[in-house]
Amino acid sequence: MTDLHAALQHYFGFSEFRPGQEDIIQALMAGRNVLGILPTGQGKSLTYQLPTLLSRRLTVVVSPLLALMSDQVQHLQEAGIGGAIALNSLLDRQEQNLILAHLDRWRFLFAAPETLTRPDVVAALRQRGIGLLVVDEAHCISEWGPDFRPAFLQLGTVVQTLRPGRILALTATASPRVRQDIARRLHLTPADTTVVSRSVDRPNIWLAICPVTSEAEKATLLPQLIQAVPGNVIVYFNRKRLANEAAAALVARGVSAGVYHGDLDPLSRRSLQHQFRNGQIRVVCATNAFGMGIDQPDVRAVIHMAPPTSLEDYLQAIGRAGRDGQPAAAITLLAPGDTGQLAQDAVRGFPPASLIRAYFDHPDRFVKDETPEIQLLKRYRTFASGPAVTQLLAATQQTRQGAANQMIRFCTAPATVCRRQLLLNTFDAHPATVTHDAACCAFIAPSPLLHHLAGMAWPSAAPLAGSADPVQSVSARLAQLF
Amino acid sequence: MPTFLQWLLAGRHVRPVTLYHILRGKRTFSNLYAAFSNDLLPFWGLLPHLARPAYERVVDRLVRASALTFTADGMLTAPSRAGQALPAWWPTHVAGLVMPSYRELGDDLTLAVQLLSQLHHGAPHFAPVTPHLLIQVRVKAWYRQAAAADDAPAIAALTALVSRLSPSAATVLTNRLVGADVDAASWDTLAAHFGWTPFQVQLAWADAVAAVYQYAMADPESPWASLWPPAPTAVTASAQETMRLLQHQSVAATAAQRRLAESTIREHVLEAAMLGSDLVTVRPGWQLPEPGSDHVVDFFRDRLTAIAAQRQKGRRGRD
Repeated sequence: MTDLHAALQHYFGFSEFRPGQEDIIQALMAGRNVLGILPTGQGKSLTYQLPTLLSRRLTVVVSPLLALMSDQVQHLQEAGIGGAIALNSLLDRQEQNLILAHLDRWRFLFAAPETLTRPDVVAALRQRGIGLLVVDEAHCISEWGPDFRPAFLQLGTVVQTLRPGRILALTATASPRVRQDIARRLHLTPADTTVVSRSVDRPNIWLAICPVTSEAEKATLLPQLIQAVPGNVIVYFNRKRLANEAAAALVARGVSAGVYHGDLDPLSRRSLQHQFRNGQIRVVCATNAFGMGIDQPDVRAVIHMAPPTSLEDYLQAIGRAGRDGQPAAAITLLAPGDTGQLAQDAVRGFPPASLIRAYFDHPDRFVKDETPEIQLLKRYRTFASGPAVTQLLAATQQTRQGAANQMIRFCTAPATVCRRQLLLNTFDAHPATVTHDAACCAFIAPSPLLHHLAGMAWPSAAPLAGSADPVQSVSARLAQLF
Repeated sequence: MPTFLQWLLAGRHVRPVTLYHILRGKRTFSNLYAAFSNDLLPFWGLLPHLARPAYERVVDRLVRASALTFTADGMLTAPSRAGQALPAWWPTHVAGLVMPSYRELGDDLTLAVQLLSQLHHGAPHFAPVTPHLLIQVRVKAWYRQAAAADDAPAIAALTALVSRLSPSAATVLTNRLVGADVDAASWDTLAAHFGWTPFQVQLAWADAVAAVYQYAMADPESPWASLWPPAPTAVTASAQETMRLLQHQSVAATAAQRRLAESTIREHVLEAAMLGSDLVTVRPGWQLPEPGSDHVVDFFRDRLTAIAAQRQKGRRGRD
């Protein structure tokens, strides 16, 4: 049998696997499919990278985000592992055709579900053969909705067509219902599938819900929170504009802060990540575009300026804190309008049944209609009938509302309720009983929140690595480059 | 962008939507003619990703503030700035139609420098800054040919190219380059450094890329000349073919041979007149209807005369 530890040391320089990694890899090496549920920060990527390097067959990774694909390819390249490519819209058709014509040159092919379901891609992959099909962030399979993609629903068909050697579905957060969805969609049966699940609990992260009276109070509180946390902080906003404004306000106060969202060009994203990693900036004000693939061990706090859309999203985000195992905090600010907004967002964008009927009866009348609702229906129409889409979207809307309600209950539950226990009960197959104490979680007002943060046993923060201003003279710059 | 638009429209008269299309590089005859007649061709396609709502918001704001005004016929204009020195970030090397995409040129340069820097420092892990496979292939081929055996000439040539830029352009360009353990400065950081806006820094960057491209392509011996594609021609191949046929035959015969409308052939003539190297005037062999007998053809004649006059004026100005 292959010595996995030796391979781990050889390819990645690690002497030990993190919990769950070895179980997944061993199951894959034994030819079984795997549903892997590992908390964020547990190195999910390594569970398909190592088997690929050992098997030398093509691994296809289905990934929901462009940024995530680019990050994964870049991480592999930086680790000195070649043969990774992301087949996505950042490449033009000519480039994509080049890749498909020479699939034997690649060991890792990353693709969005839309790409993977394209006939030319399916044909090329069918010819080449897939050793391992990885569905990253597999919880997305049961998250389809108005802002999501029908292509995820078609993965099952792709699986049947391509017949990959093994399938690995990876996620950090999956409730029992979501696990069933994933298994059903990917045709994973208990007979050929191993489920590797680790508790979502991250005991070193203190969970706090902080009710405030207004958006203005949030803006006032944010710099105080940043000051109270000695180390790196990620602040999540639900609007790019708010992230921009907060970053500018923090910089004006002398905080080394940067901003990250989907509008940034690749060089700027790279620059921000580099500066954050190297300690040149301490605070990142971001939308949820910042996160997947970010593996910074010493983030001391993740602050949500408004509750995220689901507990899954929440868990994903807070998992970016305290990856070094040292104390960290996950703080969610809650203003009076936030829960209403969350409920509204959950139903926004769904076409009403009458519109679905009208569209499917006369699609030709909507050829030039570019509203999001019709765009969504156009995508669904490629593989489903009107009644099926009506039923599907109704179910999806219900799912989204359910997720939003769950998040609202999590935020608004009485102060005596243990939030950590709620998370474990939701996501762990066999939830442990939490010892609820001061280091566990709290529903807490701003002043005691600041007091609590001041009293936490923070590890000593690395000093900032000098100015965040890297502008240099031309001669200094050229000397540095060469 | 507000300051840029004020400078761009100083003494010019353009419809706002036309200016938007010129900046995006949407090639239609009317957009080309508007760009030509307003001396805006160098700025053609300067902002290929400009979002229309954002552009319109800025225009509205400037109009409300009376920084831009509408003429009675719906043209947008701004007070002339004759005699004022151009801002340091103003693009003076951009060349519109006869320049490959600035972003692509910049990606080529950035990736080539990254590769050169990493290999120069013996850094083993190459994570290309651009995901575009063809650019990666092109840059790797360039490296093998121009620098693999000895990178010193390429580095020296780059240093020489940068030294020809203005100090601010050189600072922007070099600080946006990446290499072994060297990261790009953000637009915001550069903006703070110069006291500009991030948009102005991006303009300065595009101009610096354009300048380096022009300097390198003017010297075939430069190791950097082989990195980039040659400059495209402004006149389309179709218009060139029309002009070739019109040397020997009429407009009607050319239209018939090419299975195009006569109006399209006349547009080709105007395009060649505006963008080509030669002055174009009406020739008898084109067998156009007599003046006064067809107002559409008269309009064509007038435009051709106006184009020739403007080009001669420009030529005299340069002389």
